[in-house]
Formats: sequence, C-alpha cells, structure tokens
Amino acid sequence: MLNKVTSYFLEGESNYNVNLKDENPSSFLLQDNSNVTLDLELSSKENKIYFNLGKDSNLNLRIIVKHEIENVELHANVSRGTNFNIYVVDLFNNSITFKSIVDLDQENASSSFHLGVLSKNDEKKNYDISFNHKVGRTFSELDAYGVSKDLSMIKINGTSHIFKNSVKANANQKAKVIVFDDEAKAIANPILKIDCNDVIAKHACAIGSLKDEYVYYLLSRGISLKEARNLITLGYLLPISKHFSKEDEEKIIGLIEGEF
Amino acid sequence: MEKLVIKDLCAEVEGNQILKGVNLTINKGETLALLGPNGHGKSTLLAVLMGNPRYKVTSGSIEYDGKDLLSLKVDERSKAGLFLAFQNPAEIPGVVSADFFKGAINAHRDNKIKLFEFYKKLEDTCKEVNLPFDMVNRNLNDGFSGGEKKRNEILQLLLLNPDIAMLDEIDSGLDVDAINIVSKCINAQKESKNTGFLIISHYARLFELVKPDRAAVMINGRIVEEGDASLISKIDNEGYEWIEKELGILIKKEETNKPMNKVSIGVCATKEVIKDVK
Repeated sequence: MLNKVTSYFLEGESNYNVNLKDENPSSFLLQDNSNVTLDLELSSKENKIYFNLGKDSNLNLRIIVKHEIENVELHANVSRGTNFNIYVVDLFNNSITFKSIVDLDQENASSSFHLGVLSKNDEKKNYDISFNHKVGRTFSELDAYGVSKDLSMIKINGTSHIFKNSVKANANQKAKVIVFDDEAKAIANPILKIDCNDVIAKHACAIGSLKDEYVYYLLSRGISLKEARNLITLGYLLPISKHFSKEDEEKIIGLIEGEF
Repeated sequence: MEKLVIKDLCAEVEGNQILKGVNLTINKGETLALLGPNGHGKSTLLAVLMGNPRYKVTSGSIEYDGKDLLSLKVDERSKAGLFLAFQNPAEIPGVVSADFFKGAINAHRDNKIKLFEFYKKLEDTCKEVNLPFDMVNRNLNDGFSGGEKKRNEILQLLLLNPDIAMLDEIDSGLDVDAINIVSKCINAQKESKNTGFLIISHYARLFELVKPDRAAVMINGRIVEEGDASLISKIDNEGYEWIEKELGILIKKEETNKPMNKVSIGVCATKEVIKDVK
C-alpha cells in the first residue's frame, strides 16, 4: 500500500514553521528564486521527508530533535545555483537514527549539514549523512559536533560521493566529538568516495576526551575543574545555536547549560 | 617581604629529572630575571610552580605566603595570587574569550562581576595591550597570531591582578612596538599593584625596559648564580661560557639529534573503485 504524501510549497522570501505530526511521508517543494527558512517540528516516531529544491534559491532547514523521535529519513534534490543548509540540534531525545541524503544534481548546487548532538545515559545516536555530487562544480559540507556522556554512544557516518566527471566538486567533512565519561563512546567514519580527478575532498575528525592542555590552561586562571570541563564542552555545542531564531537560541542554550 | 620560597626543589617529567635542587626566593613587588641556556629547566620551574600535572615533584618544598604551595591544586594556586603567562598558550576552539575572561575574573571574586563593569574593564584593558575589542568574541587564542597570543596573556594578567606573575618568554615573537606595550603594562602593574615578576627571556631588550631588581641563572636544573641586574648585561655580552670557567660547572648541551619517535600517521582516506552504472 502506498502512503499518501503530504506536500508543502515554499516560495519567496519567507520563514515557515511547520509541525509534522502524522503527515508521513512529507514533501517540500522550493520554488525557483526563493529564499526560505523552514523551522521543522517533528512529532512522530518515524519521519520520512523529501525536499525538492528549485533553481537559484536558498533554503535553511532548522530542526530541534525532540524526545519521541526514533527515525528520520531526509532525501533532497538540489538544483542549479541553489544552496540547502541543514541545522540539527539533538540534545534531549532518546536514541535516534537520522539519515540524510542530499543529491547535488546540477552545477553550482551546494549543501551543508550542521549538527550539535549530545548523548547521555545509554542512548545511541546514529547520524548517517551523505552528499552525492552527481555533477561538477558542486559543494558540500558536514560540520558535526558532539558530546557523549555516561554510557551513551554517538556515531557519525559522513559520506561524500563524487561521481564520475564531477570536475571541480568540493566536499568537506568535519566531525568532532568529546567523550565526556570513561564508559561513553563515539565513532566517526568519514567516507570519501571519489571517482573523478580535479576535485577537492577534505575531512577532519577528532574524537577524544577533553584535552589535558585545555583543562590546565583554564585551571591556571582560577577556573575550577568542573567549570573548565563545562566551558570546553559548551564550546562544542553552543555555536550551532546561533543559526536558530532568538527564541530557539535561548531555549537551546538553556538546555545545554542545564545539562552541565 | 618574601612571597615565594623554593627550597631544594627536584622535579621530573616522564621519568626525566629536570629540576635538580632549585633554591630561589621571589619577593612581592620585585622583578627577578631568570636566565639560562635552552633546555636547562627554566620553563619547567614555572610549570611546576603553576602545578602542571605533567611534572612530578620528587623532593623539596615551595612556600607561598608561608603556606605549602605544593598542596594546592592549579586553580587554587591561581586564586591564591599566582599567574603564569604561557610561552605557547593553548588554542581552545569553541570557548569564547569573553566567557573565559568572565569565568576567570569571577573565580577570583566573592561576588560575580556585573556585566557592565566586566565589559568596561575588558574594553579598557584591551586598549592597554592594544588588542581590538572584538577579539573578545573570538574563540580563545584560536587563529590568533603569535603576537596576539602574547598580548592576550598580558591582558589576562591585568584582569586578574596577581601577586606574583611568571612570564615565560613573553617577548618571543613580538615586534618592537609590542615589546614596548608589554613592558609598559608590566611596569604599570608593578607600580600600581606591587606585583612581583619572575621573567624568563633570552633578550636583553625586554630587561632594559622592565629593569629587573635581581637576576638568577639556571643551569643543569639548578640556580647557579644570583646577582643584581648587571648579571643580565654580562650574559648578554659574554654568553654562558664564563660560568663554566668561573664556577667550574660543565653546561650540558641541548640534545639536537634525538631519534624520532616511531609514529603512525594512520589511514586518512580511502579511494573506492565505483562501478559505472549504465
């Protein structure tokens, strides 16, 4: 049986706030020459979302992941001259699998995925972020920051696939996770599939406990060990908040500070 | 008044004995120049005084204001009035400088500083060290030039008003104008707050500007000579060889051709052969 797809049209210079309850799967169509910010509220356990982005446009998608969400599948097709930025803050839900596949179908299409994720207790948070550079002169960026506490685990798979003949494609990945407690775990897999010459593909990955050098420097200025650890950790999670609305930014900062 | 009294201090790092019986006293309000060839323990002494956990004190004592400094944790030493300006300050991504400064100032006060007072103090101090005020919104030392990092250390010194400030090669990497600014700040701090300074430098220029009251020479992990500021000119003119002759001390040369550690750079990326889809 085929599920009915709920479609949303996005256009012009606008801010949209959409609460997806049982509308699964959902489809968003961005008109050509638009500049849109979409705050997406997910309320179902399972979420399938499709994006089709027209030409010469910009879409900023902002998601604050909530408690009840278990699975998110996001598929996007990005057209010529269009930029698709995805911002995901995941601070207070349970275990989750979040899969994002962005196809950069035409020249000068670009996309970025920014993630701030905190895991605690025995949560398992899997993020599988893929960009497919199907043609040349396309740009992608993964910028993921995480903090793993208690017995929890964060796994970030970043896949940048540069297809044949995609000359001048540019793929960047950065994943940084602090393992806050001894029993906590973090895995980051940067995967670069490159089937073309004359491209740029970069990745940077750092996983580990708090650097002793950082902690010592802060302690040497009178800051306590607890505060020093918190300050460094907040530095991982707070920067993403500035991409959200003022109201959401305050909410995110409050949530993060409440955790440490 | 004696503020910091170091007696027979021995310390090691990763099993290597660096400090081999250091005796030194620093008084409040005085400036002491610490001289010595590279690799003879000057920076180690400062790190041990600040409580760097990499270094292990094997024997000896350090009294600070009559109390046992070695029993204090790093943050407690700072709150007691000790300050170290690092030779290579840590770059900490994600930690906004202003948040860090506020945390550090509050750690030294009973009541938290008011926001207006904090920003006024910060703005004034930035002007003193000639750092642009918008620097406070950048991540701590992240992407700073060598000179900016050093001036940022002096900025923190001025914000925290320590009783004893230890400066580890604060002048390295600074141009002439920046050295003038830094030395002016040191002199003003000494004058207005009676801060004592322990300064490591290899260059006479800084010492000409801050005019130390005394100088001490560290060789092979020990203080081998103490004297007035004329000791600085003597070393600047003659180097350290006279110490070998006059004091009969064989100066251990810095090892320059140590074998490299065996390291693996790991696998950075893999290229997969992808089948053509027809």
